[in-house]
Amino acid sequence: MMTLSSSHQRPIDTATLLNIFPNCSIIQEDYVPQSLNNDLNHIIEFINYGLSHEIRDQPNNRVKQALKSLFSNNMGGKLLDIYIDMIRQKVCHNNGGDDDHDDHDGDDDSSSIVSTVRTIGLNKDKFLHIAKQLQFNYIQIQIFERSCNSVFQTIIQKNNYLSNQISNLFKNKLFSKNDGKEDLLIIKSTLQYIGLKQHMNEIIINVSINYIYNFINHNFGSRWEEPSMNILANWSSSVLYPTLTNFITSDEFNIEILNQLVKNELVKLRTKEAFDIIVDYPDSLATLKELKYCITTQKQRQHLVNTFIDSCNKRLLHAGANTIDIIKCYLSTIKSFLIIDPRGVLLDKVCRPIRSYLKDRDDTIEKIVHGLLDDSEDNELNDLAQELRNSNDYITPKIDDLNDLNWTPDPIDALPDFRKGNDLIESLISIFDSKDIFISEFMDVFCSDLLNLTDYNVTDALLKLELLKLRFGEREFNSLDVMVKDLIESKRIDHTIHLELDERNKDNGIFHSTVLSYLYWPNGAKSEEEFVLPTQLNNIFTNYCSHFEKLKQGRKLKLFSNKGNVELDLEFDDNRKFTFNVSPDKASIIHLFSSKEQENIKELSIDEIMNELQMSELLAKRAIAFWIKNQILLETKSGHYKILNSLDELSEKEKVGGTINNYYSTEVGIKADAEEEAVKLKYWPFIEGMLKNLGNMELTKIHSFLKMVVPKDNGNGYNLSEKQLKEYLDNEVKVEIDGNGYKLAKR
Amino acid sequence: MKLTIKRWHAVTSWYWDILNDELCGICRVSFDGTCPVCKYPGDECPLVIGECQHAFHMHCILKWLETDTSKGLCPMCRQAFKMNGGSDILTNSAAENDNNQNNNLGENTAEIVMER
Repeated sequence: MMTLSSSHQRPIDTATLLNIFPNCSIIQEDYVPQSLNNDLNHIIEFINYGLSHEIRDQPNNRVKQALKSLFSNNMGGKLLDIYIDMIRQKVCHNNGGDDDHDDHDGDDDSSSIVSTVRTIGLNKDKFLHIAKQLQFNYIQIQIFERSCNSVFQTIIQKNNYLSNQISNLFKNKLFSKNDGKEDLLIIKSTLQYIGLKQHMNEIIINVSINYIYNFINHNFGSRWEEPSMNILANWSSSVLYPTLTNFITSDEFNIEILNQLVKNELVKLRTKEAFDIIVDYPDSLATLKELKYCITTQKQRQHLVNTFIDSCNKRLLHAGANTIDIIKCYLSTIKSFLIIDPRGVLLDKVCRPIRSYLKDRDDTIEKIVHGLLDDSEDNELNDLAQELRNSNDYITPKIDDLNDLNWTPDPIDALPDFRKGNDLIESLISIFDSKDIFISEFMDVFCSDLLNLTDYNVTDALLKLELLKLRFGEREFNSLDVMVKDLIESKRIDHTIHLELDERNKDNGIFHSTVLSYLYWPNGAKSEEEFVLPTQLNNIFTNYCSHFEKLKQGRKLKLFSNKGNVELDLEFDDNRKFTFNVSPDKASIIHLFSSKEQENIKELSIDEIMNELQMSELLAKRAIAFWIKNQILLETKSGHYKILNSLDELSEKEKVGGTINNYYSTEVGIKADAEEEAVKLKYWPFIEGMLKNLGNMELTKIHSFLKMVVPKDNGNGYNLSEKQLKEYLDNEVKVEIDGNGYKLAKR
Repeated sequence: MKLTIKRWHAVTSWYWDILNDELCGICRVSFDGTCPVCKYPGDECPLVIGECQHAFHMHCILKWLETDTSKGLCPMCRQAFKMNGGSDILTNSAAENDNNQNNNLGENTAEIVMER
């Protein structure tokens, strides 16, 4: 084993070969006669001397002779091989030693690197010199130089430490204002000398790219108001280019390429900032325009899209964000990406996640609708209202592709279901598959707007309606048309009736009415809190009714007692005067008090009021609380009220504003009552069903079941906390506690 | 305390004062709505009550009477359909509203019905 492995390691020389294959002709040819061998030894000695000494002697006569005889015997190639081998061994050996040395020599980086590199250059000089002395011909010299280069290249490229040091050195010094670039020039020329021109250029380009990015980031990061390209182009031609031309020696390098590099870095920075830029729209207009011009490759586009979507997911599309903010951001996204890419392909890709998120939000439609219709200053989505107002030039998209002469195919990089969305409103509406939800939301908004009108002025509503029709199509707005027409018709009826009324009884002149076609109003314009009007008021209404019946044969009027509003004056003995604009229930209650006062009944209990007006306790209490708050009524004892004719009747404490606070809290209490009522109505059927079917159930289980089961439409979903549920269940008579859980009480 | 109500703007709704039925026997839409053709209820789509006390949207019953199969009978009770005397809703409401074009039209068509 030992002999085998050792012979394995020893280079095989001709003598050994001849021992094994005595008659082999190939080996015979290579066989070196004694004298030539002798010559070779002389030359090797000469080379060794040359390699280990700095002095460059001319070869002596013996060596020259030896060379001559070698070349005449065609041994040039062999000599070359031997020489290259020797160099390889020497360099690798030296370098192995250097590695250790470099490791703990971190202090004076630059000079040590420069000297290392310089040594490499000098060594190559020396090797070449010797090669020339050995009288190789031109081709052999070329071969030698190539092998020599490759030896050095391996040293530099394989040695991470060294190549890192070199790039660091360039990073630190290439663009510094101080001198010290001589070192860099030496390194550069040496590396070029040993054939690492490409490598050198790469290092420099990488360093430059880094530098450019930092420069742009420092000067233009987060500044989007002004274009930066001019300044950058200037900078690259006056600062960058002159520096780099000294170092980069390539025919392909020119100012255009440099500018392209700068642009790429700008795009990189802007891509990173994309989300903020878009949120900042329209202040970032300049940047967006620039970006359009700088982004050139498909890869950059893709990267921009991906980065933007990522930051959207991280920063916008989560429960913490306001719906209005998301819509706002969606709008600026549309506008911005249409600037970057007018074809709309990028926009299409970027929009998808936002759209699908908005679709899942409960209040998106509500916010959009209000944004569209509210043209006041404090509308946060004022853009939408403006857009709607400017929609006269809006053209409904053509559906028929075949007859469209201007038809163009979708852009080549568009997704299969690509749709170009130029129009803000259109693209918001199209988030939802059906327009019906919008229409019903519109109806709600119009309903409350129109019912609050007291002057029958529908000009504004008509304008909005027409604008909406442009967007949504004529057909969808049947009910809204009827609603607006009801108002117009009401005005005419009211006018006609009042022409007749005025002559007879002035008291009747106060009554006006909006007459609805109830089938066409949302929820039939029903109000749950109906009550009976005080006689005097009811007479005014019936009088109006009879005129209506005369005017419109066969038709009658029904009053929505709790809708509309009443303007009234109150005058007190102590000269207090008030004007109120209140709902009919509040007016009726104060009217009741005032008429009872005339009958000398000063005090009314809550039960009497409820009885007299057939009003629910909730409604009555709420109205009373309102009057107490305004210091018109006074609670004498619990559930009993009277008119506060003079402020003197207030106790000192109440005068200081205690009243308001007190009764404000009453109002809150009433609201809480109302909520509890609602809870009973909404959830009780579910709870009852659950307990009936499953018997005893624990609180947490009931809670999670309710969460699952109660339908979520119209924001009516289950929204109690577990604690609230417990409170409710504990108070509910029909449920009793059973061990850990609840069960239905036995009747 | 002196209470003066200066103005009361109420919200009301109108409805046809029909005793028996809520839906038009022909189109099965509420009387307070419209026949399938009309858009606006009320004046533009009035009702007609026959002598048999059956009420229909005017446009519905006219269309029915124009068909051959109807033979001028009320679709509900198969008696000859006649307007309820001279006091039918239609003519009266038309007289009240001169400026409403539709009512003029209503008047004309009513005469046609009477002729049959």
